[in-house]
Amino acid sequence: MRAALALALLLAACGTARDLDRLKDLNAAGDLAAIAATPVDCTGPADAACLQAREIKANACLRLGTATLAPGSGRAAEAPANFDCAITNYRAALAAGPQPLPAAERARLAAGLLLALRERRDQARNAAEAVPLNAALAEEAARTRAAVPASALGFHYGAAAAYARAVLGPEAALARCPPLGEAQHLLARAPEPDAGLAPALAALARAVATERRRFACP
Amino acid sequence: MPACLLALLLLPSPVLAQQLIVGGAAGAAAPDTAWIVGGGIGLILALLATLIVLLHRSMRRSAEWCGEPLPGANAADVQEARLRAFALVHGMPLGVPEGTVRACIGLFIIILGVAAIVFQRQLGLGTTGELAGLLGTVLGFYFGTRSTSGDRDAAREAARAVAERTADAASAHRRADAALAREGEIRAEAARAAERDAKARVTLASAERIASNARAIAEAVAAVAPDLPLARTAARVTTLADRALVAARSAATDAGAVAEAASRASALVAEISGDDPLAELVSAAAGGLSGALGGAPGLLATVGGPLGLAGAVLTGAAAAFRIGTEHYRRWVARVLDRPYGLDLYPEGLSDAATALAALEVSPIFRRVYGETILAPRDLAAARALLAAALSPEAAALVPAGSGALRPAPVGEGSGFATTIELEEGIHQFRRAVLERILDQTDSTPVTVPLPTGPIAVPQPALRAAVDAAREDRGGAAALDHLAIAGAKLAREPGVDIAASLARAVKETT
Repeated sequence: MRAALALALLLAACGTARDLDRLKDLNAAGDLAAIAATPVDCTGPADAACLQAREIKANACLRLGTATLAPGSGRAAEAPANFDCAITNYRAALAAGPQPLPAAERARLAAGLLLALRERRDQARNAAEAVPLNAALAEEAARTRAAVPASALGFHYGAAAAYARAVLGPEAALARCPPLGEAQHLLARAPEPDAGLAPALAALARAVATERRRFACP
Repeated sequence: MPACLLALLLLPSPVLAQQLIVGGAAGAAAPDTAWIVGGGIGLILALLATLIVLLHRSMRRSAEWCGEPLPGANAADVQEARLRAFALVHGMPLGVPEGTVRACIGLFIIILGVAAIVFQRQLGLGTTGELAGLLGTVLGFYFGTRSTSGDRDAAREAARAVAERTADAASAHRRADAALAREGEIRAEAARAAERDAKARVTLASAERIASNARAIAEAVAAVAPDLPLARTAARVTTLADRALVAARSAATDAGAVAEAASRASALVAEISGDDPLAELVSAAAGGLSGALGGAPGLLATVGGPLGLAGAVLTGAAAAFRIGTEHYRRWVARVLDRPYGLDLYPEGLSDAATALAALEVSPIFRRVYGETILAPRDLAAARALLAAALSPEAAALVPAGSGALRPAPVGEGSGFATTIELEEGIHQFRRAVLERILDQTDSTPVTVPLPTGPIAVPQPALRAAVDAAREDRGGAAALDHLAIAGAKLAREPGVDIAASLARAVKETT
């Protein structure tokens, strides 16, 4: 029985390595669709090859989803599925690596996952669909803040989720000011962002401030 | 002693001398011989006296010559030289060179002694022993005195040396004083030269700054209105400014020509100051804005009049540029109402929540998309609307629909009534989005440096005034000119807009 289990694990590892090599080749060729179509079913844990394979697939799905949203692409309907693919694979990558993950690796994967969650939320067609997706974004942002407190990522996406919660509510100060206040609080607590995130963080701060002025929030 | 001297004086008459010395009568002697001897002796004495007189006069003349005024010598030097000559002559025996008197006396004694011995019989001298003794005593006294006076001579010599050294020291002191005075004059002259040089350099720096300023302004204005007469003024100012800059910078390589370069550069700058193309541009734009906003005096007052609005557009553009290139592009896009794309937006802002919030405050889009996007909170459609509205092809993409954005054809019931309404709707939506991404620093008023004092133009008032001015063709043209000039000038951080505004005020009043 033990021998059979070890053999199965060995074969699985060999399969992941083969998948990773193929994904790397496709990634080098820029064939995002082929990467997205490649099945990756490893789960880890402590499997570096699996983490890489999942991350490559998640990145490809995210880029595909963003591309389908370009005006005139005619494939906007595919966007939610692509973002779901990205979310699933980023989460799998986070679980596949050694636990706990080094902070830099955790932050890199969290950046992709949070962006995919936000993009997926933005594909909601109504408030009922948007609210749980937005809540998922808020939860992941909170986990990121706890896991990588030195990164501004969790604060930025937490504030973005709070801002969306305000906008998804009725146009009244009573409904909007509390989440806007939460967003402002998170932005104020955010550590110094890196150069890539700084413009987004500043822009979100301006948007929050504009809405707070609009509803005369205290 | 007086008797000895008297005897010495009576030597030409030996009989009388013998009677005086020994008290006896002189022996009988041939009177002719005695007179010959006496005459000879007298002649010798006269010759010696003459020699002494001549020597004395020679010495005096020499001393006086030494004290004659010399070219370039001052009165004190001449006086000192004369005193030294007088002291020199005064220190000599009878005013003749040292040893002359002794030589004369020695000669006289030898002659007298030889004559007395040779003519002993003719003179009737029984013996010459007393005479020899007397002469020996006198000679011994004289030469003894002269020999003992060696110390006195040495002392006198030492005193003279001291006096000379004192005089030398005094002279050296005066020369040192004169040298110090000259050094002071040289230092004062050097300080004056340094002050003149520093003033010239300040003038040069000022001229260079003004010329650079004028050149940047002229280039900006020339770019704004290449076909207007203003461009000729700008070209002339550019040429003058270039010449002034060359003059100002030539001094850097030729230190001796600083004053000349400063003078030349100042003259050119004075010539430049007569023409300020930016002042002319602002003045002309103020005229256009005054006409455009003539019906809204209250609005005009909030921005400090036409000149305040013109200055606010110029300085606002420059201030936005200093915040950052992207911010500046957004500011100018808003003032000029130019189309802009998603490249103006920081990554991450173009999310659906922002689009939904902007849609809420855009009246035309809200009417068109209120039920389909706002009511259900359709984030996907809001996101698609954002992408379409911020595209350069917005006028085609928005009514056609894209992805989650449903079509809203122009002229159909649920869409836009006209193309104008569509364009106005896009304009409103873009402005609402821009409102949410402008830097918070834009909430601070634009400070316009008018000659009457700086005024603070609030951003909302500025936007309202710009909107109103754009309704008029002349006002729109004036704003375009100002915005383009502001865009050009914003790239020149050292440009002084205040001076041009002050000139524009003078031109318009």
